[in-house]
Amino acid sequence: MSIILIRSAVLYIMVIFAVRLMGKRQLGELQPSELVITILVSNIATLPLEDADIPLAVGITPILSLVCFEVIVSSLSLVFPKLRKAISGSPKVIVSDGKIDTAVLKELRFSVDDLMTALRNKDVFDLNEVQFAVVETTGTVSVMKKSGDDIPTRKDMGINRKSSNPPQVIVSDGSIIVQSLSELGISAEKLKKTLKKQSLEVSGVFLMTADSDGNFFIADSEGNIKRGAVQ
Amino acid sequence: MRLKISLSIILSFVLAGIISCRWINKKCDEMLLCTSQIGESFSSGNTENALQLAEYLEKYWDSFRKKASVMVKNERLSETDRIISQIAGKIENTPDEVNLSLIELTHLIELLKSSETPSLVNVL
Repeated sequence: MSIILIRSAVLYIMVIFAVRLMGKRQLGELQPSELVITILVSNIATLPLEDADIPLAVGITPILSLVCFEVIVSSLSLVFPKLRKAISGSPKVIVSDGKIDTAVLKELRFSVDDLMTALRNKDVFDLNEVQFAVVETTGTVSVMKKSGDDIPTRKDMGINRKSSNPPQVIVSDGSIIVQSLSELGISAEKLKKTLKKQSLEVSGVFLMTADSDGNFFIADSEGNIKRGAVQ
Repeated sequence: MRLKISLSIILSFVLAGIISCRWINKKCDEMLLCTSQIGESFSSGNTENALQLAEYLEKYWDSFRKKASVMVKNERLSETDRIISQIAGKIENTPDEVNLSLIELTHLIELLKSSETPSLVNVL
């Protein structure tokens, strides 16, 4: 029993390391090769867990090897576009200028139902609204609506607003995140002074965010919300 | 950074594979030599020498098995384990079965050696 427990812990660490080595991707945005590797890794990891007669090395070696091959090939595909195309394919345009390209749909084995489902997933319920649609190499569909059917932006409405970066978390679970503070140009003393004005200590803060304009948002350990400007 | 780590891991696996393959080949060759010496001693009537060699082979196998079990599946080792442990007993009690056991043992060690050596047939 203890042997299985230790093996489980070792394999858990190995799989986490392997997934981290592969890098950050959302499951739905994996390239075909990455998806295959992810599924393979999960299947291979179960073999030494189920059967204690199988040496750990027999489980760890294929897991790490597959992931390393994936990293090496994906690094090479950055340098060699033809390799990238051979492995991942290329995006296919299925709607251009509002017209559906049925030949490409046939090539992709994309039925009408598949097309409509993909459009509805992008909140498009009327084909008339679609100017351009592409099937990406990950299998997802990207849609561009016609100008008249798209949501107007501030620019369309002539509203000027300065672009700013999103707020950053500067206190998390009672601990100051030094890197975020330095990126925002806020000193720790200023932060503590601001919290003091709100009758709070750093340890009593569950979550605090601030943006480049100095606006903050605080949720204390009891869930009370406070807003204001860093002074 | 990821690329360097991946290349290092692959390289270390290749090196480990080469080292383990050579180590297993060397140990198997030594055990095959010992097995043939047991057979020669037993055939020439030198039972005492055959018995000593059998005991030596058993200890050698135990030491090899402990290290090999890290990289070789248990099922490949367990059958050889069983035969080696019986040889000394058969030399003493059932001499009629010794030669057959030695032939079987030789076959299993050669199988172990060939299965851990990368060749086209093994890979496929």
